[in-house]
Amino acid sequence: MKKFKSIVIILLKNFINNAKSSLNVKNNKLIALLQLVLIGAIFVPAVYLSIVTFEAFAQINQPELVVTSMYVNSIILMFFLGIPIIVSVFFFSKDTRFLISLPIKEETIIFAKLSTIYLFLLAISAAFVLPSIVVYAINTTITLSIIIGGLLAFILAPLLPLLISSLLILIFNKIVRKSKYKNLLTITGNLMLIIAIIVIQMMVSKNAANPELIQNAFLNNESLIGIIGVSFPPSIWMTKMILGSFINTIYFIGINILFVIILQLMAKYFFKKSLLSLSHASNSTKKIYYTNHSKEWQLLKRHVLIIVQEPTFLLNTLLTMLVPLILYVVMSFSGDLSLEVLNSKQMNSYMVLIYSGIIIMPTIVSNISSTAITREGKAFWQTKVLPISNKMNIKYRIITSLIINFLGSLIVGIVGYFMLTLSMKIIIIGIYFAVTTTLFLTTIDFIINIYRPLLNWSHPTAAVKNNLNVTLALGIRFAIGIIVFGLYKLYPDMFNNYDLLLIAMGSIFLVLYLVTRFILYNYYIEKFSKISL
Amino acid sequence: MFKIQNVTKIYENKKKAVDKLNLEVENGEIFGFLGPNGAGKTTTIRMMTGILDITEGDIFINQYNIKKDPIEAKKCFTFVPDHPEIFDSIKGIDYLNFIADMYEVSLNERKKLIEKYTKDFEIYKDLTDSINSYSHGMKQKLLVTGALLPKPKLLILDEPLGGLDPRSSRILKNIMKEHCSEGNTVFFSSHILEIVENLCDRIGIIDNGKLIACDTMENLRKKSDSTLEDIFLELTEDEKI
Repeated sequence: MKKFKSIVIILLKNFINNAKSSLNVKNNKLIALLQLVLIGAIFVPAVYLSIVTFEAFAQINQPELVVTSMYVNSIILMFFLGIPIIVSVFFFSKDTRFLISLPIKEETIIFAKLSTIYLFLLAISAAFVLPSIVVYAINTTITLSIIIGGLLAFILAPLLPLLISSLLILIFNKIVRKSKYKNLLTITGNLMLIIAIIVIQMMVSKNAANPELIQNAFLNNESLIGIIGVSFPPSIWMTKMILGSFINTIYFIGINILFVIILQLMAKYFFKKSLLSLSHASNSTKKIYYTNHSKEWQLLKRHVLIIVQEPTFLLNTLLTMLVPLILYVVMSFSGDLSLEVLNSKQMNSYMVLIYSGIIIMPTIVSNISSTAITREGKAFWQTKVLPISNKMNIKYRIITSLIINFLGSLIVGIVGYFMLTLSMKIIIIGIYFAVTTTLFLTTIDFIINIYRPLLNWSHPTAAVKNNLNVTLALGIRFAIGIIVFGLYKLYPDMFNNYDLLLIAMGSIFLVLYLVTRFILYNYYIEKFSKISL
Repeated sequence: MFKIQNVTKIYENKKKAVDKLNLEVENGEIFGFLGPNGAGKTTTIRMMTGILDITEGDIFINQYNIKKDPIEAKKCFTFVPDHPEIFDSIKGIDYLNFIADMYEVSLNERKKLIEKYTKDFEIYKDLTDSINSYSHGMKQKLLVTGALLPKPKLLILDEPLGGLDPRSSRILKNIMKEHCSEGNTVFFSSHILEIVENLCDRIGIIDNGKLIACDTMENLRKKSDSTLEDIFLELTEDEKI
């Protein structure tokens, strides 16, 4: 038990320290502040959601359904968040080889790892299930069954998502490991997962906004919550347990004990799989080739390959490039958006805004330039010792980001061309706006990365996602949005002619790009040269 | 071949890693750079190669100042780090083609040298595999091969023998000797005193960021009449006292 506890503690410390170092902030007070902001950003909306949901259910005299609803929502959330955590802890973890060399039973290591994941998921349960119980208890009568049942629901909630996520990963890993298209399958699987998240999120939020629909869902076995709520008895047992039903308490605890037993049985199998995943299979063609290219071509190829060859980077890039398309496909299927609406006469005057918005979306959502140095990680030293200038070193990182962003814009632009009724004028204005904005944002994002190079990351995810650079890059886009909105509120007349507006904004971005470029190549080049591991 | 002039490195945390270091190495020399852990060896090498900024002083590689004329200076040397951290999703042959392109090595020359060195190191058949499937030693061999492709006037290696098996170590030592016999210079740091003792023309010992000894093995022996290990321990112990 002592060894088990030690492993859990060291794994948690490792996770927390990795998260802290990924922020790349040296000031401890600032780290504490950022953590508080992060916790607040999760808890405040969760508490608000609990209050709103409670009020909605109270209207139909079933206030206890707030706990059911939040329980089901948190299970869905834990299920999706559990997948990347499990993959990270078991399949991409560098500590497994170290841990197996210790005099500890295999099952203890696995169970410690599963317990660590359980604790992460428990934090989600604390953010969603706990507030709903508190909100329900405060607004009704606090009874012993609410306190005990609520605590049990909160503590046991992560078990089921942990079990299902683990099973899915095992199945997926079994298929992928044998395939020679391992990376492609991983990316496809991840893309499907994200599409599933968007679909479920849309369905859940649609239902959550409509208490009548929720009530009908429980009665008629319709919609997602209905299916899970009724077809998934534990959520009903949990609700009845909080209401004081002894038999349902037994059912709820019993099913969760069963989950623990299954998890324990899976533990050893999981361990072997995670070890197997540590060895890389070779799938090369055995032909040695000698090619001769320019330095420029090689640098460009290097930066493109850093993205393409690493599944995490590629997935992140693909997603940012294709977000408008994914959203469109999902919203089309859900009936929230149709081509008829977009091409209707009422939308005609907004078409230039719609098209410009679509083709600039990959640059707005993407932040690849803000991690152009970071992605290289500990291999960054290599370009520093090569006989190339710092300017050249910077230039081809930015060109890589521009190529990817423009490619994203081109793809969605072509799809948009075939779906929307567009004139040549709209296309030219859209392209002008997209090109100038992309040039500016890519350059300023790169300056962020020079400021915060963050080369010592432990996992690719930390390089492109759990990274304050990305937040800062998105912050710039948000600030631009606020300025434009402020101008609209102050001077609405300026926004009468959308063509002129976009040309003017595109021109402002062009000037900003030229200024930023000048600053980058004249002042930040020195800072770039000082970046070291 | 290169000159380190009054070089000091102070890190952001105010730690002085290298303190007014002076060192000059001539053409055709094999120079061994010794020192205890944290003495400043890697920091010095990183400053020489342009990876790390120099706080004070100058480093000249073949008369080119690494701070003021970095590209010309970098054309004169190649570097093999202590940890083979490279972009490893590509194949070994792609890495070597990349290096060859960067140093403008002709197709014929690179073909000849890649075959020679990778066959010597027994990684030729692995060149079409992804680098991330390589062992630590194989990566080290790949990096050494890449560093030799441009036939650099100065070959800088930081702990080059760490991950190598005895056979590969012997091959690398022969390569270093051969490289020097062609009029080039080899500068390397190591913890393996026996290798430094047998291989190097001159030895420099650094401790607490300061060069505490720099001479040929013969001259060092004259002062102490003992093995390099004894001299090393004696000198570095004196510094602590």
